[in-house]
Amino acid sequence: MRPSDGIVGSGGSPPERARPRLPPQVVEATFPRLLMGAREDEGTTIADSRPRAMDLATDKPLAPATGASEPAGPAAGAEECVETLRRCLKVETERLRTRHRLGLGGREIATARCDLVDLVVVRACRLAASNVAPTLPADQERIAVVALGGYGRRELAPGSDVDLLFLHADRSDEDTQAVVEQALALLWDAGLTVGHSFRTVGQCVAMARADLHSRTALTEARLLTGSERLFARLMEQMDALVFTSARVTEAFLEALRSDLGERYARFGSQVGLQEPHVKESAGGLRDLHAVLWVAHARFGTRGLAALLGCGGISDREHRAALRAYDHLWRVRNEAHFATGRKTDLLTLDLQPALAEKLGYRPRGGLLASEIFMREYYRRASELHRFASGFLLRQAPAPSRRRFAFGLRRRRPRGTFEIRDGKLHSRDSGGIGGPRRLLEAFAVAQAEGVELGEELKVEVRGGLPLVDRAFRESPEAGRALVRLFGRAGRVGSTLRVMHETGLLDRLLPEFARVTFLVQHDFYHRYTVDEHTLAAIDALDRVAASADPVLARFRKVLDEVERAASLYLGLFLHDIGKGHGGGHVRRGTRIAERVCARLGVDPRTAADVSFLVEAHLDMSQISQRRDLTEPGLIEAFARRVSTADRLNMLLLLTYADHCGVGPGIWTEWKGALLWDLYTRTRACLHEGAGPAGDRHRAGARERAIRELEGEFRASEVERHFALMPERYMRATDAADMVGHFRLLQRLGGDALAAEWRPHDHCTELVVAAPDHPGLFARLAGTMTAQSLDILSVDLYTREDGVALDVFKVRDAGDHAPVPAERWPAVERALRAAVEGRYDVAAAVERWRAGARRRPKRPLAPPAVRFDSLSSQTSSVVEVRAEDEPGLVFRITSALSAYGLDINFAKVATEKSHALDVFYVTDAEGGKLDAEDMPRLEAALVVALDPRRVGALTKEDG
Amino acid sequence: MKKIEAIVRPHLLEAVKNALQEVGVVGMTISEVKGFGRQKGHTETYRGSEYKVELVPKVKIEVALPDQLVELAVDAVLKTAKTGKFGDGKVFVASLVDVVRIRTGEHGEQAL
Repeated sequence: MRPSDGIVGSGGSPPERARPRLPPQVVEATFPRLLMGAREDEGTTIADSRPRAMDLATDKPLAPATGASEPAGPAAGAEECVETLRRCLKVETERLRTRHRLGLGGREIATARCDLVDLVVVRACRLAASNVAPTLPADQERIAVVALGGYGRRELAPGSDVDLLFLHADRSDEDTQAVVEQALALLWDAGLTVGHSFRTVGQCVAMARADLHSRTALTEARLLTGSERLFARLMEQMDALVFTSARVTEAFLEALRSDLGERYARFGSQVGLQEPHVKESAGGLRDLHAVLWVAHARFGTRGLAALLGCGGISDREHRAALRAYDHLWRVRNEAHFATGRKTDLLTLDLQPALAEKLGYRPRGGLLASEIFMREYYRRASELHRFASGFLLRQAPAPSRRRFAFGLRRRRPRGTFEIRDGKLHSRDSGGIGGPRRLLEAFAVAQAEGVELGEELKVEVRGGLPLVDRAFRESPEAGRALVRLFGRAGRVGSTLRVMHETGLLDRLLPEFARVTFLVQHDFYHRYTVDEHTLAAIDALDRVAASADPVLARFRKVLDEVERAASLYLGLFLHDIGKGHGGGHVRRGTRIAERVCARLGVDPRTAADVSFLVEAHLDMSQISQRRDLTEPGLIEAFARRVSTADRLNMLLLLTYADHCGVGPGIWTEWKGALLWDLYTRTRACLHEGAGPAGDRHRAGARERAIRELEGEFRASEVERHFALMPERYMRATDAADMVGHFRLLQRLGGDALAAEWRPHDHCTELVVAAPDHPGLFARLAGTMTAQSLDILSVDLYTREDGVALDVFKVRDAGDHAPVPAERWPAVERALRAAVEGRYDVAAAVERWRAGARRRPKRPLAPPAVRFDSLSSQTSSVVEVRAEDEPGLVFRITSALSAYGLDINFAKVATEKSHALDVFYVTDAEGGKLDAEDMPRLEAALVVALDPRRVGALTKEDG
Repeated sequence: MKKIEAIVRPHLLEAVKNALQEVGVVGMTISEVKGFGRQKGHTETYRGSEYKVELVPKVKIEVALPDQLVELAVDAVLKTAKTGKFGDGKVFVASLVDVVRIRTGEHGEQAL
């Protein structure tokens, strides 16, 4: 993929492509007179155009021989002009699009578009001048039209705004203003989006001194038409008062640094973002602009070539930066062309379309969009590296620490030394062998310092020395494993190794997942970034004193070998990027890697286990009924040791954290710890989880406590009729509370009781059971803006239902405040009594709830599991989350005649995974024949097009 | 029946009102509003266009009328409210499902 003649090669298609011959009708300008006429006129000022009305048709000035000539019908001329300009823009943009499709480079298209807009702007200004002020005296320099910012730099994307400065002399008069107004009207009506300012030279200078964006915009100012003298004065003043003033420049650099920080905070400071912003994210176009601005502030240069010329950057850097920049521009142009507007964010939906249009094809198990994004990330990270290096050299942040004694000293460490808090090489004889590269990282990790910039450059330079022999050598393996063993500092070390490219050389398996985009709703980062973020999370558990992480830290302290855990976490997603089946493939790859690193058999076995089981704990805790007999035992058998259980817990936590912010929640934590404690107890006590034995006594204790208040026969009867599962899953205090609630129910339609918890609210509802009861309750809760997290449903054999809901507020995901409880109860009661049309309410709430139909809704997926539970069939439904989803599913299940015993509802971003334990009318599991029919019924019920059709199904 | 919403410059309210009455419009509702269009409120050229949106005060005139008057009314507004500069405003025309006179309970065109 070498660029040649400005054509950027694309992955998957032949790298070399000769410059195409454009067909003649494409080359020929459609508006020859317009173009040629404008070019001839270049260099004259507006004021200079003596009463010289242009004949728009022939573009020749009307004969001025008689002195004061009449402008040819200005009003009519303006409208025709608008039409001409609009057509010109449209047609020429189409031509640009064709040339872009045929392979013209990114920057060339941007420049060509700039030229087109120049034409249009100049024409519009001239017409406005001749219309409004045909009697402008000859040698006035009243106005200059200046291009700013990117437009000034001669780079315009097809959908971009046009930034204009109308520079005027100090005494502004009505004529000048009128000219500007009309010019703007023409430009807007012609279809351009114009951002304009109307200022004197003095005002420009003042703004540039005070405001970062004004200064950078003026750095790249370019005269389009109008008074040259006025423009020259502006540039003089800017140079004298702004650009060469050291104090102003220092303030500017400081402001630029903080602006950079803000930009990264808003748009992403990692290149490997799932949906990068081609202009503003790290590695985006703005990174290069920052370099240009700093170069101008420091050296007075404009443009990269000038910077190269004055020695600010090396030739190699210059070429790399240009290559990357051009590629990004090409992607940006394509995004604008493809969507027809100013699209700079590369969303997941857009990526496949762009990949296809830019000529990428699927290859080697990777999708076209994955190959496209990978190349994008590579270029973006090149650009980012270039920009960071340059900025660090030319505009470093002032050292905040006062130079303490210790820092001033150089601390030697073997062939390295620590200077200014960073690691440097002591001898300047180059990096030495590959061994030394690893040593650098080992020392840095041991001392807790970062690598200095020069050392990083040396490491990068020494990469070719890392050959296969070294990679497979036992000492490389040992050194790496040692790196993984230092809990609390693994992430930072690995990150720098990855950034310099050393990690990819040593572990080519990891290179494969570098910059690999994950096409699902959860992951915010590419696979490599996700892995490193997960390791960072684990480091935080190890190193921080945060009380929130205390529980995890205790578990980490018990882990026998931290290296196993870290290595397992590092390799957990290594199997991605080959299509599907990443768990099994990942396990095989992990085994290979462990063998190569020379890891001892016990560690290797642990690592393989971790990779193979890395999804288990989250799946089981979030999707299964943990009171199910046999479930915990089966999991305990799988884990087999407490050490592995500990490692798996921490890995699960770190994995979640690495997916993105907000993925880990208290609710998930509660579920995970529940699974952990039960499994741990099972492992310790051997057969029969302790929980069960505890529960076995619960019934007796509850009965004893109720004895005083209620008649013994009633109590006995109640417990005799409650299902087996209830006895297993409930503790004594709850049993007592439930019994009291049921007594309160009496003959009523509904009784409810609330109990607040940390992260959710528990709501117990008792009501006479009937088909569709649960669906009604669920629907009502949705309509009341409550999210259902989990439900335990019990039906007493005499037909009374006892449902234990865990809910939270749908808006802010917080526990439900007490003020809302009465209203919810009233609604539930009305629903159960049939006075409240639940389906309609859900529909109303759906319509009102804010929905962003970003992607076309994917069809729901239904899975059945007959083994996890002894008594029920487990139905898992995955669907795009939308209001009322639980209601629709449960309505469909009831309509099919099924009883729901237990449910867990989870929503991740916009993706819902709802799990229901069901039994058929006879109380047994589903037959094999029923499953496909039920699946079809569910898919139909969840079809997003069937809005409002579920009205009569709740019996 | 249609409903017209015209957003116009405040100082032209009288002129527009009179023009509408001449066309045959009998009732209208006036409110003072603020807003912006494509130029984000920067209609005067002596202010720079930075990256802010300004709210410009305007006047909103709402009229309900029978279909046959719509074109006349819109033309009347255009004629009187246009100055040719940015900020002249817009006219929205929407379908009306029903009109009810509160005092008598009449529906439809007779309630206009």
